[in-house]
Amino acid sequence: MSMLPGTLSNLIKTLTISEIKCVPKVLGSVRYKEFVEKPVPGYGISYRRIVHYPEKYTVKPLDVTNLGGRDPVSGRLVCKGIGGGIKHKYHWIAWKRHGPKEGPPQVEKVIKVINDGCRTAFVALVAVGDQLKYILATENMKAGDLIKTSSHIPRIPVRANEGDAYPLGALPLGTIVNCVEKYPGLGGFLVHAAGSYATIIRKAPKDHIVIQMPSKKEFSLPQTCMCTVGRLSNKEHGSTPIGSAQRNRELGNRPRSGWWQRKTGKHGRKLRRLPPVRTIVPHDIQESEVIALSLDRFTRS
Amino acid sequence: MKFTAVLFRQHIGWHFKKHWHLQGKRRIIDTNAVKTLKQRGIPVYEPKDILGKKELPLITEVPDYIPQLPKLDESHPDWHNRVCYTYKDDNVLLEGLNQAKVIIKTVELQEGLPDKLLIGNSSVEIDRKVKRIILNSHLFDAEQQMLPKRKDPERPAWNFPRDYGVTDRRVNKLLVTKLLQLIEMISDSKTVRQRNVLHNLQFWYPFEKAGDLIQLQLRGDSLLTTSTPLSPVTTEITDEVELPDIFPVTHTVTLNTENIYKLQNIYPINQLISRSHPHTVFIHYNPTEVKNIYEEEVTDTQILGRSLMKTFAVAATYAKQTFGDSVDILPRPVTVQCVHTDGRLFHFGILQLNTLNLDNDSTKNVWYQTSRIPLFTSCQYKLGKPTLEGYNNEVIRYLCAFYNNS
Repeated sequence: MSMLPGTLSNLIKTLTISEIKCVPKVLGSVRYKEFVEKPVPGYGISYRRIVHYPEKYTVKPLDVTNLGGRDPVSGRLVCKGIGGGIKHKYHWIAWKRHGPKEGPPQVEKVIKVINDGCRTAFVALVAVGDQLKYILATENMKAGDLIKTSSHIPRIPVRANEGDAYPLGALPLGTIVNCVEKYPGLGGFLVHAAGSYATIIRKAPKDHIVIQMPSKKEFSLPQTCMCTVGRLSNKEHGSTPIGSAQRNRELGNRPRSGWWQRKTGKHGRKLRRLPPVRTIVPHDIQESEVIALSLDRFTRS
Repeated sequence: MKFTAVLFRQHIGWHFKKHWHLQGKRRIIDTNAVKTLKQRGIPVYEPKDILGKKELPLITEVPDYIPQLPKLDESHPDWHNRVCYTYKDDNVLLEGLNQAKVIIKTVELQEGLPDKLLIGNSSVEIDRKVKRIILNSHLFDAEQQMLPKRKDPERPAWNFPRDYGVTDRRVNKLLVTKLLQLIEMISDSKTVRQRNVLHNLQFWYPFEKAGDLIQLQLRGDSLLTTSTPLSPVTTEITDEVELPDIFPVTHTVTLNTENIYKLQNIYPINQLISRSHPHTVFIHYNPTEVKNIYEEEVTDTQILGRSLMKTFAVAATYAKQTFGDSVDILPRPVTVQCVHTDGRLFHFGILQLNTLNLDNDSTKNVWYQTSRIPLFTSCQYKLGKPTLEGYNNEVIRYLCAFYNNS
């Protein structure tokens, strides 16, 4: 018993000493975090990869940086289920296929149809004059084919072959098209996936053409919007099973757990009538200027 | 007195700071004020122009002991506003042989090599030596370099172990020099005394074609020279023979477009030297060096086109040196032979250069060629043994015939 007070007092001594040692000189705030602008998915930004585009168009396959579902600015994980996989070089597609406004169409030659790892449809290397470019390959496109491009809308619809690019207004009703411009001059924007196509259904007032999208929705587009005739290549893509979990990893998708998912619509969609025709009117895409108020005391982190 | 009450206090500064971040971005609504003011002639200034800090003049040039390389823009001493299309060792033409024929105005009058060329037989002894040369250059050389990565299209995720061995450049160099040495040994000494072999020569030939400035900047990996120039192959009139049609592509497709260039006419052998006339140019096709700009495989016709372009560069630079700069239709046609190899496949060609005027449609140059002939089907280690399979003696027979042709 005589030892106890001594040991206790020793213990308290050590405790106090260690406490002084542990306390850091400046206490970091627990509540304060550096302000991070959170990424908002759903506005056309890919969280799978960044492509390092050069200034001038080139057919040289481009280097990419895989993001693994992360926002490149903040580094936050935005999209789960992306990561790893085989790294592919990116073939820069020349989306704008504008031909002469008058006179005979421009003739181009398909050099090769290439399997591009970054997209589902095949890519065709096309040469005209001393220029080379990539376009999305249509179903039956093969090396040596001659394809036409024209921006002229004649009075009588043209008889177009597969792979030709014409304005929507120049083609007869019922034509199957792909890679359709949303606004005139923007470049191919709608219908890019393997085996997909849109159908020209009818004409609409104010020089608009109604097309049926692969989702069966109807869009009314200006008749000067360019499109490529035919169905996109690699139509087997949709009906080809991935095959194995490892193959799915090679495609850059991370493992998922579980099978039943209430919200995915796996067992069919709810039957509703289609939404009304969506009319797309060309407008100035110029965004108004955004200014960030700067007051050092509040914006400095 | 309760001490805890004070801890419930909110730090209003943090809240304000967060609010500032969230609401501190303002979209400016265009009120057309600038437009109206401008219409009335009232000048409008950006606030930054008036309130912005005045920048101090910076020192543009920092003296450095290491000389700086000139920038690759307009300030470069070799900058020209006119674009020059160049064709170099690593280029291939999109349309291959047909495009090459259009560029240098060349036609093929017949399939295969000219009938005058006598192709002899090879003996068992020679074949045995050639087989040893093949094994020596492909397998037995002591070089151990990292070779390009292998890929299996069926299993794209599989990484093969890295291979070490003899590089394609070295294989080609060894094979060609050793085969030439063998041919020198078995040929007539009188002929051998007339020949000379030179390696790694540069041939530069600038010319105009349909308003485009084109320059060939090519390497002759080995050049066999001779004391007397090769006699012309044919005297046939070529005015009527048509060039191939490469519509809708133009002849300059896949040539490099450059603004920084030097125009030079180089035939690397002085005329005063005996045995300065070109006889046969040996061209190496190194898959690691020669590539399409779109990184797809180089096709057969592109390789054939490469032979023609390189042979033309040799013949044309020689013709300029011999007949002067202003020569149009050559007084005596220049004939140059070519052997193009990737170590396994051999391609033989003969070019008869009739004219250096590549713009008009009259006299044309003439090209004879074989297809790509394999020297063997495979040469590799099988179960640890060096194995050569499917040896074909056609190649050595052609080579001997080319060497002895005069």
